[in-house]
Amino acid sequence: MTQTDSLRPMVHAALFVALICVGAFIAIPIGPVPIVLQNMFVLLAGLILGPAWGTACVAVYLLIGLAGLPVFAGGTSGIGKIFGPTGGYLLGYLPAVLVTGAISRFLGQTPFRDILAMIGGSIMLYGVGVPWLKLAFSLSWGQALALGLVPFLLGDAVKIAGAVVMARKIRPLLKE
Amino acid sequence: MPRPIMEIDHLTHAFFNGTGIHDICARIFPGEFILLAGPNGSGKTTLIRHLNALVRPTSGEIRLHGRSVTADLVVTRKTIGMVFQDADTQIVADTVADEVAFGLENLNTPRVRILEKVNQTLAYMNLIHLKDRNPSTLSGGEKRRLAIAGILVMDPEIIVLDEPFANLDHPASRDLVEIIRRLNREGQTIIMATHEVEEVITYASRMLIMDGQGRLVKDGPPNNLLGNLERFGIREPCFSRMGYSAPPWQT
Amino acid sequence: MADLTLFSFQAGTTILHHLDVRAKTVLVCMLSMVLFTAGFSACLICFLVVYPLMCAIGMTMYRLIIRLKGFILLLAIMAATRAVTVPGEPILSVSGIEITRQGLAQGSLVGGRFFLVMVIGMLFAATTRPAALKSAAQWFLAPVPFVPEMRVAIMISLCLKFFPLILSRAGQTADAVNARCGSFKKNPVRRIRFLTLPLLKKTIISADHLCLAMDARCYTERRTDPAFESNGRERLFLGAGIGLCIAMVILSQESFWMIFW
Ligand SMILES: Nc1ncnc2c1ncn2[C@@H]1O[C@H](COP(=O)(O)OP(=O)(O)OP(=O)(O)O)[C@@H](O)[C@H]1O
Ligand SMILES: [Mg+2]
Repeated sequence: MTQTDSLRPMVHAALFVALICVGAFIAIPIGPVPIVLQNMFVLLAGLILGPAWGTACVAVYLLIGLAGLPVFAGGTSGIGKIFGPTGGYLLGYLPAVLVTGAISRFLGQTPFRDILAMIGGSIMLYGVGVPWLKLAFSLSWGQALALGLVPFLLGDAVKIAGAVVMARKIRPLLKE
Repeated sequence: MPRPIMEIDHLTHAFFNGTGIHDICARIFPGEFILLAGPNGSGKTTLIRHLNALVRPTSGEIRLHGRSVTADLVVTRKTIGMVFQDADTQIVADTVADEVAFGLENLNTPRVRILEKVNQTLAYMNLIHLKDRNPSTLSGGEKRRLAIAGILVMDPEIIVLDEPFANLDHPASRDLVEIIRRLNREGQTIIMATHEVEEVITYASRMLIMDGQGRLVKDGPPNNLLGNLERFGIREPCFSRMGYSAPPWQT
Repeated sequence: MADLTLFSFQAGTTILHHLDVRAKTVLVCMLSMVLFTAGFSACLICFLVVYPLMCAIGMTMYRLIIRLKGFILLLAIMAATRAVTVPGEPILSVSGIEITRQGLAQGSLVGGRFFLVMVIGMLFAATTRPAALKSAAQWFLAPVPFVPEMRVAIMISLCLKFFPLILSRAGQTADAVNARCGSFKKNPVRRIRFLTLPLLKKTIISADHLCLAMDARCYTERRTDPAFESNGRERLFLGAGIGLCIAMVILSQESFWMIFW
């Protein structure tokens, strides 16, 4: 009825853009490789905002990084980063959030389905990131997987578990 | 008697848990400085959010110049400028100047006019030297002044302030009181919700008191209510507690 | 603090600072695209043009390397893998791995290109206000169909607003959790939860307040168009930029060098 109803999803999407940016800076030490919460916020954006607003959110994130605000991991930015060797992991956020959002919209929202949706999203993310890495470094498939996928699996499992808990607590806040 | 700007007509808003505001009636006249007082949770914020139709009532109506506030939202919100309780979350833009321009941009004002009005308002609120700063780096008092500038620039007829003294130290509060007084002297109608009346009670022309159940229990000049405030859960100003009338330098 | 980490913008009065942001954007895009196919000499010329501008805003090579160390390491690894995988005339052979001349050349060229693109991007970011960036995004997206450019602009501006808010709240949350000895248990899932959940809740509440505040100030998507700062030298710079790009393209053609053979 009020305008707020059309405004809220946009403000929430903007909030997630900011969270994804901040995610590049919050690192939690687990084992040898500290995990960065960035891709967790991307998946969470898919779960919570749905496919359309989720994709919009990631697109705006990439746009501001492309435009030069240092919001990519390590405070970097620019075209060089997006088309650089690890750029696949950035561009992969787009299909990742879309697929997570779509699966979650399609299947419904239980913890188990959330996990499925996020696994689907992660597959999209690595599906773009790993081949890109392979091309950039001219690696074999085995090497590309060993460098660009295996080291992150444990951290990703933890992040997905964390995201499931969070999605459950946050959804009611956004509904009302 | 002048015509009222605003009439609040049997306004009721019940939240699902039974709290809310009940059957509020009041009329607001041009040039008034109204203090809306009441303990925490008495419904001040809820009432205020009805004034510019951010929230819709369960029953009752608010009329602005005789028309319901929900009839034309843009006119309503341009006429009633609102400063929220939390200064941090009402600032939208990333520079001070852009923040002040936000409202005018929404009204599709031409750019030249915007620049002119923004500069004028920044100067009036003594913020011109901070023009290009990021609002998140301002002090609490400056943020509050910025929030006021952001609505003042739209030439509102009524300025509504929700707990403007929250998180301000004494000098910043005094500054703010001075600004509000100046606006009021220049003819601006003011409604201020607060539970700390000490700073402003002597300047207010009228006081509305709400009780813990969301009802309007008193409506009158502050002088008549002084000495009885504690009964309504509001701290008595120091001078009145000690049995004096308002000190001369405050009037 | 938040300002330092997010906004690499450095206030200043150099010619780049006052250049219209749209002209700057076009220049950056043109140069980056040309660079992706540029040869050695073209890269060198580009560097010679860019270096004085870097000096003008006080970005020394040393500070640049410190800032980009992770990225540079990545580029070095990328160059190294090229050096050993591209077939060609071997110049060095260590325990069966051959470094070829062609590989080394290709690797260092690719690394150099990325480095230059990165530097140009940083120059742009260091001399452009975030607010101007937002206006430029809106301006460039306006002719693109199906993209609500006003909405994108307002989302960027909200994001710039939320970022410092979230960072400062993240600090507060960590302190609060530590104070209650809640956090640093071994379980990583709990750790993520304790750190981010309160943060998310608080920021979502702020977001709702923000919606109200925007509504209260008549927010619509049809707003006054943004204004652009300009110093009147845009044509000069664009002309020079186009000239540089053409020169780089020519220099990168192999047939060009044939003239001298
Ligand atoms: N969205 C809501 N849902 C349910 N109850 C609400 C909601 N918003 C406010 N309330 C309740 O309505 C009552 C009035 O709240 P309101 O915020 O208007 O009080 P207030 O006078 O502004 O208090 P304070 O001095 O703390 O700002 C409170 O009891 C509150 O719990
Ligand atoms: Mg309140």
